Amino acid sequence: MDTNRALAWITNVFAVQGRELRSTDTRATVPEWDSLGDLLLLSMLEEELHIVVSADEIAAINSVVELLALMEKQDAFSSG
Amino acid sequence: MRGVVGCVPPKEVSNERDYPWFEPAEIRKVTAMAGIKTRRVVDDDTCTSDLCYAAATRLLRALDWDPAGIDGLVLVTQTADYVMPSTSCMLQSRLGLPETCAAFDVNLGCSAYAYGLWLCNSLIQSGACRRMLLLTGETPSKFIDPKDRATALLFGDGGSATALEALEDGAAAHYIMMTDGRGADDLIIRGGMFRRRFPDDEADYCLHMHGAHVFEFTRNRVPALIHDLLEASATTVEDYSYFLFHQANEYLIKFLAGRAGIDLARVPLSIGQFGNTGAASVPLTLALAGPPASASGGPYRVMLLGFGVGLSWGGASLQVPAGCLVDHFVYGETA
Repeated sequence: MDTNRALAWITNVFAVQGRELRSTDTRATVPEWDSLGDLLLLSMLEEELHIVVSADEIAAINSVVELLALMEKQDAFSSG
Repeated sequence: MRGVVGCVPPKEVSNERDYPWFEPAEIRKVTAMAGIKTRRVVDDDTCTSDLCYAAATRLLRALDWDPAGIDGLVLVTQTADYVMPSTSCMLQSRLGLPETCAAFDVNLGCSAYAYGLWLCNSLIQSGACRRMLLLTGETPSKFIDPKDRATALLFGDGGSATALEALEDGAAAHYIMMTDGRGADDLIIRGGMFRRRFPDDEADYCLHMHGAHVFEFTRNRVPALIHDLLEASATTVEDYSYFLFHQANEYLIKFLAGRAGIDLARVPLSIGQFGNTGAASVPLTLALAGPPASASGGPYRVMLLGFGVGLSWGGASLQVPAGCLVDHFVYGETA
């Protein structure tokens, strides 16, 4: 997976301004990752990456690393 | 169905212009997903009942209906004037309806119009009522925290009035009503009623929404509702001039339409202009769309779909008869 593209995509989903998210970020370090963030993530995973997950699965993701793992598992942003 | 009139307040708020405390990028993100650019909000002195009263007055006048002949009034809203009495009782008096008119409130939001039509249809078919007014409306601006990112940019105020009467040769309508109270916490105002009369936390007087759960519920439940309504009414999507979805989220509406194979030309939207107006959203969307040109003044078939708070969802497949009045106006505007 192209991690840089994936991180840029996640940054855009949460509309984080002034910096790009890193794999070390978590819910605690990203104020925009609240319940609205979960909704944006759920809808854009489905709309743009065709990854369908449940609301409970989204709520259980607490870090960017876990989110990247989900995306890699679904073959999103494949570097090939 | 003899007529549908929608009413919105004159004050317009713009998501982009009127919320400087949010980052422009996040406003753009929410606006793009939900499809909401502007909304209408009432002033402090105006309630749902005022919007519905204005819509009903305009409707009765346009139809030349004598208020004395109305024997049923149902108000479906989650923003009643008072805890008690029922707002419908006060509207019975304001509208000059007779004492022989049954009047009561129903507490539902997003599914309000489908439930209201089903209820009125049942009362008319049973012979209990002959001429009814169904009023649906909401003033969410009174229960939204303007600083809450999850809800502040989504909701608008609106009211509606629908005139219904018994017809010997009326076309059959089909209804499906559904409930799953396990999702009650997904859209809730926790304070102000009798479970928590005076909560310490001011936020408990405002709407709390678990957007991802509501999104998932809609995505999972509404396709089956459309399918079951088509099956119950022995119709196909081509038989409908309009599919009138509750205006919760433009992306979701388009997703649901695509999933059901519905051409978007048959899916009117009011969300961009008025936001999510709760109980008013379906009749307001019909009123805004007006009769379809393809019907050439004749009858046309519509499917009405409501889904959300409760969790409650329901739909109706019905024929709008020729000559049915469909109109909308701005509150305070003279007829």
